[in-house]
Amino acid sequence: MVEPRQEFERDLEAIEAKVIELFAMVAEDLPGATQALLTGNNDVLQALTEREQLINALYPEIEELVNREILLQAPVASDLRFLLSVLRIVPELERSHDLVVQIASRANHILGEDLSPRTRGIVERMGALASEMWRQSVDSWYQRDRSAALALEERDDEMDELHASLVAELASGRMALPVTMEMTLVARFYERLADHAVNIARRVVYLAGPVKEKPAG
Amino acid sequence: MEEQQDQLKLQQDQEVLPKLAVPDTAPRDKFTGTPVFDVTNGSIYYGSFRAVTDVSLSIYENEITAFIGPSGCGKTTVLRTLNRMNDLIVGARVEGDFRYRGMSLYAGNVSPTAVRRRIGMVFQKANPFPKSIYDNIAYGPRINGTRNKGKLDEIVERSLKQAALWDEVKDRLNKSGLGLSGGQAQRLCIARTLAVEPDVVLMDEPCSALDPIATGRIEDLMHEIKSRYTIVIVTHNMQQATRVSDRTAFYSVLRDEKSDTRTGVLVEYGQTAQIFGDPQDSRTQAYVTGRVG
Amino acid sequence: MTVASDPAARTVDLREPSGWRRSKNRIMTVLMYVAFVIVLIPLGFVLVTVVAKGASAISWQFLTNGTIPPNVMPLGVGGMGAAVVGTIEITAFAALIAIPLGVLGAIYLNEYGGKGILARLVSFLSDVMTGVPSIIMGLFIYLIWVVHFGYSGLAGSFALACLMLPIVIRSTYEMLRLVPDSLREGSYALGSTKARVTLTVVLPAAIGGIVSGALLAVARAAGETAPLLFTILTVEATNKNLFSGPNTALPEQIFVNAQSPYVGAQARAWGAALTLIAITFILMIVARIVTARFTRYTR
Repeated sequence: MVEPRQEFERDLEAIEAKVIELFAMVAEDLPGATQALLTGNNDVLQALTEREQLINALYPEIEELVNREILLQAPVASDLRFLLSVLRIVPELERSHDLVVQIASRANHILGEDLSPRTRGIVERMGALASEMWRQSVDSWYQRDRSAALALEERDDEMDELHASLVAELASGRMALPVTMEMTLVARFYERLADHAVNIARRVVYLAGPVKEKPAG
Repeated sequence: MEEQQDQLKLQQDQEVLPKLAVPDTAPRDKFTGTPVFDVTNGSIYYGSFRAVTDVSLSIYENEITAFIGPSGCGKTTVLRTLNRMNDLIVGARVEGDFRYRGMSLYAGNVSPTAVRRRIGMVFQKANPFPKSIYDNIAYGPRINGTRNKGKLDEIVERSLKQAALWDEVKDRLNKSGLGLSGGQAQRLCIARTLAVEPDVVLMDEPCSALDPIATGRIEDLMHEIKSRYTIVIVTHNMQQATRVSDRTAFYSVLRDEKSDTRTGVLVEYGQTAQIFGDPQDSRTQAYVTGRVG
Repeated sequence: MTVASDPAARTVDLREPSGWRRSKNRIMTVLMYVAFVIVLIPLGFVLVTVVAKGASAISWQFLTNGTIPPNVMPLGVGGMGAAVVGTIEITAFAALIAIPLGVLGAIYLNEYGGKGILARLVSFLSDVMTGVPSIIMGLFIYLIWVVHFGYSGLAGSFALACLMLPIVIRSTYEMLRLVPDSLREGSYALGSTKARVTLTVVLPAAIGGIVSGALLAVARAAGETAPLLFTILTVEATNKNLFSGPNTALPEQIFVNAQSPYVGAQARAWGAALTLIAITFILMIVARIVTARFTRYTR
C-alpha cells in the first residue's frame, strides 16, 4: 500500500537535503578560512568566493521551496515546525558563510608574519572552537537534539572569554595599527560565528518539539 | 470601500516582505499545455433561471484543475456541463461555446453517450451498483462490447490496481459492491470510471463524505493517474485544492439587487500557487482566507 | 421530583420519568399489544378452522381427480382436480398478461413519462382501476368477449388480468421509485443510454420488490370469485383447454359447494378452501425465496 502524501514527503526530504548542504559548506570552509588567515594564503579565497555564489543561489531556492510547501500543503505539527525552522536558520547559515569568507579575505590585508605569537595562538583557538561549535550545531540539527543548545551556550561563554583576551592583546599595541584594526574585525567575526551556531541550536529546541511526558508508573 | 481597504492591506504586506526572485528551477509550473476543454462565454440555464453566467476558461491536458467557491456558485453545474450530465435535468440548457478537443459538445449531431464514454464522472456520494464488485467494474466495458471473460478479468484487475483497491478486494470480487466502507466504495467508483479508459475524469467533491485517511488515499491516487488522464475536481476543501491541483478556478455568486436573482460567475482562474498565494481579485482573497463563506 | 436544597450542588435527576408519564407509557404499550392480539385472533381463527375442517378432505384423489361429483355425493367420490387445474391455468395466464404489461407500464410511468399528459393519464386510470369492484371487471369481459366468443378460461384470465394490472403497475412503480437516482446517474456517467440504464441497473435493483409485488397480485387474483362467475361459467370436469369451453376454479367451487346442505359438498368446500390457502401460501414462500436470491447483492 502506497504511503499517503508521498510527494509532500519527497519535497520535505529535498528541503532537508539542501539545508544540510548549506550547513556542510559553512562547516567545511571554516577551518580552511582560519588556516588561510594565519598563513596568508590567498588561494583558498578563490574557492570560497565560488562557494558564496552557490549559496546565494541556494538560499533563495530553499526559501521559495519552503514558501511553496507552506502555501500548498497546509502543514501542521512536526511538518510545520520543520518548515518554519528552516526559514529561520537559512539566513543565519547564509550570514555565517559570509563571515567565513570575510575571515579568509583578511589574509589579503595582513601578512601572517605580522601577527604576534599571542595573537596567533588566540586566533587558532578561536578558529578551532568555532569549528567545533559548528560541528555540534550541524549534529544537533541533523539529530533534532534539543540538549545541544545548553552545551553550545556554555561554549559560547568560552568564545566570549577568548574574544576578550584577543581584544586585550590587540589593545596592548604590539602590532602595527592596520593589522590591529583588521584583527579586531576578525575577532568580531569569530564571535558572531559562535553566536550563529548557538542561535541555530536554539531553533532546534523548537524544531524538536515539546518534551514527551513519561507515562506515570 | 472594501476593495480599497483590501488593496491597502495587500500593499502593506508587500512592503514588509521583500519579494524574492523566483528561481527557474521550480519544476511544477506549466504555463502552456494542450487544452482539453475550451469554454467561451458559456451560460447555463435551468428553464428561465440563469444558473451560471458567462464562463470562459480552458482545461489543460494531464493537469488537475480544481473548481472552488461558495455554495450555489455553479461550480458543480459547470462540471456537469462538461460531460453533458446536465442534460438529465429537465429544462437544462446551455448557451455559448463548449468545446472538447476542438469539437463542440452541444452540436446537434453529438451523442451524449459518446461524450460520457470519453469523459467520466465520480460523484460526491459513492454509488456502487448493487452488483458484485467484479460486475461493477465490468459494467462499463460490457457496455462497450467487451464480452471476453479473460479480457474483462484483465480490465477489472488493472482498474482496481489503478484505484489502489486491488489488494483489499482481490479475494472477494464476487461479493456485493455495497459491502465496502465509504473510502473503498469511492475507490470502487473511481475504478469503475477508469475501466472504460476515459480521456477525462470529472470529480464532484469525491472526498467530502470521507475521513482524512481515505481522502489522502484518493488524493495520492489522483497524483498517480494524472499522467494518463485529465482531471477536474470540484471541492469545498481549500487545502485539498492546494494539495492536489495545478490550476484553480474560483467561482462566486453574483447577486442582482434589482431582480433579486443570483447567478454563478467565474471570478479568477490561474495556477494554484498564484490563486492561493497572491490572488488578484479581492473576492478571491476574501474567499481563500476564509473571510467570506 | 428533585428539590435543589443546595444551590451550589445542583443534582440532575436521571431516573425514569415518574408519575403519570410513566403510567401513560405503560398503558399505551399494553394497548398496543392488545391491539396486536386482537388482529391475530381472526387470522388465527380462520387458519385453524380451515385447516381443521379441510384437512380431512385432502387426499391425492381429492386434489387430482378430474370429476367434481354432484353435491349429494359424499367425500371420497371424485375430487377437485378440475378446479385446481382451472385455478392454476387461469391465474397463470392472467399473470402472463398482466405482469409484463404492468411492469412495462410502470417503467414507462417512472422512467420515460415524467410529467407528460399520457403519463398522468395512465397513472390516474391505473389508480381508478384499483378501486373498481372485481365483479364489474367480470361484467366488462362478459360484454366484450364472452358474448362474442363464449365462456372460456381465457375470458376468466382476461378478467383476472384486469384486476391484477393496476396492482402490478402500482407496486412496480413504487419499487422503481425507490431505486435511488444516484444509481441511474452512475450508469449514465459510464455512457449508457436510457434503455440500458433501466434494463441493467434500475430493474435489477428493483427486481426483488417487483417480483414480490407481482406474486402478491397473483395470490390475490387466485382467490377472486366474482369476475369468474360471468366468464368461465362452471363445469364439473377438467377442461385443460384454456381457450375454449367453460372452466372452473377453486373459489367458484367453494362458493357452489358451501351453499349446499349436503355434508359431502360442505366437506369438499372446506377442502377446496384449504387447497386455495395452501396455493397462496406456497406462492408467498416462492416470493420470499425469489426476492432473497435477487437481492443478495443489495446487502
